[in-house]
Amino acid sequence: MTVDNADGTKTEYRVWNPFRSKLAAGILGGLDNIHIGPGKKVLYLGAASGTSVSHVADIVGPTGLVYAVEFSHRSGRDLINMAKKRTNVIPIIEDARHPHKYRMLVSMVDVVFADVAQPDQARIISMNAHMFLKQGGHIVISIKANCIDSTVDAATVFAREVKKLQEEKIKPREQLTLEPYERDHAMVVGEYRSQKKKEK
Amino acid sequence: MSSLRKAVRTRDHKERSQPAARAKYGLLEKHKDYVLRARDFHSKEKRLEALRRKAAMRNPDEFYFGMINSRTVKGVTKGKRKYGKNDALQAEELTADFLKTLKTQDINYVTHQRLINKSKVDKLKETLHLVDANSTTANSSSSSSFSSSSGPSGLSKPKQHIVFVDDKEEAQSFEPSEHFDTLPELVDRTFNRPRRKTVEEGDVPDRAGLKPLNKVREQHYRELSSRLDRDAGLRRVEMEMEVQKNLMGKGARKKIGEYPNGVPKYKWKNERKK
Repeated sequence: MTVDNADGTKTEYRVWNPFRSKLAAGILGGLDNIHIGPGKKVLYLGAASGTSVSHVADIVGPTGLVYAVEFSHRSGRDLINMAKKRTNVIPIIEDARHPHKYRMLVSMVDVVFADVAQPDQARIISMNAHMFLKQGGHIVISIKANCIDSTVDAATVFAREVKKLQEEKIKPREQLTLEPYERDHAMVVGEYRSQKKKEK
Repeated sequence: MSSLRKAVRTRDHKERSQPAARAKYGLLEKHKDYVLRARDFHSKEKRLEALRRKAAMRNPDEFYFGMINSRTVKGVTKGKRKYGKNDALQAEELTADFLKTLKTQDINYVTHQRLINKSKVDKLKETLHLVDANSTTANSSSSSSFSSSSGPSGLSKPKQHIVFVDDKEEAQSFEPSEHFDTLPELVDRTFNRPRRKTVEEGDVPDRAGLKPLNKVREQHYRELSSRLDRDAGLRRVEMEMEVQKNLMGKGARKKIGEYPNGVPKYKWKNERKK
């Protein structure tokens, strides 16, 4: 939708569908801080066809950078097409389990966003964080309880995943379930190798 | 050559028309009209004769269950309807196969309508973000203990927001409005929760300006809810028709209960395939 501004310029808005994008669901759900802002460098794991990536790319703006990692070639094709239009997106068609394969492409990043829905996603995320995330950087991950362990309660799965992340020097900050957009999903925001607060 | 001469010699064929004196009888009947009329007359004659013969040879002990099951409502005979069978009248005229085809076509139409409705629901959901669908239950948990309260298990669980803090003291003195840096009355709002700085700068739109927008949004929500109702209704109809179609088929079956929306559930006996 297009809105006319007072000074004659036009601003175009587009819909960010929270039923499709976990990040949008998290923002509407009331996450305090997603740590993705103008000028930030973001490593996006599980980019799929790049719909959410395009929104993230718009947020970080021309000074920021998004490294979008996707394993599937089929959705990777859409991702690459999207990246042709946005110069601040670097598509990487590679398995996020092997970050050393794309280490030449990715610099240090401020935020790692992960929507991989794999049983070993904590390991995937921590590997990528160890490799590319700067000290005091943030991770924003989406957890699908069914994908990790469908035999136990969703809340237990989330707690276990958070515990795993803690062991990898990622300090959890926030956890939010994504009702009503997704069932048994949670967003977790964490800080990597957080420095102790100086004052106090 | 002779054929050409013949062609030249032929006169126009002129049809006799009804004489003016007999105009009251309508157009003059030609032979082809007579043939049609005669054929029709003879067919009726034959039918009448057949009926007469049938009446003459009637079995006085003839019995059908329809004779005792049917009743008249305001002079119109109504047969007793069974679930899954059409009226006695229709069932006689149409063969089972033909009826089955009709049923599938009906099902296809209902499915088609349901899919149209569904795509509209999806489109509405895309733009309406259901932001105030349910409220959050804010929790704070220290990093050491993980005994976070879990929401009540059900279809629509309430949103749960956990904030992790460094130690127990911080957890006890946790103040949501402090943490989210917002006004205490806005803490419960999950979307568009402005920070204090934004509120102080007066960068928040006033209520009067939002009124027309809210009106449109409400209208959309009403449409969405009615479309969801319609979806449930169409789904029910579709299921019911599917059951009816299956009941017209072969095989021993047993009613084993009902679906949540009231459609009967049948089970067919397994038949050995040769």
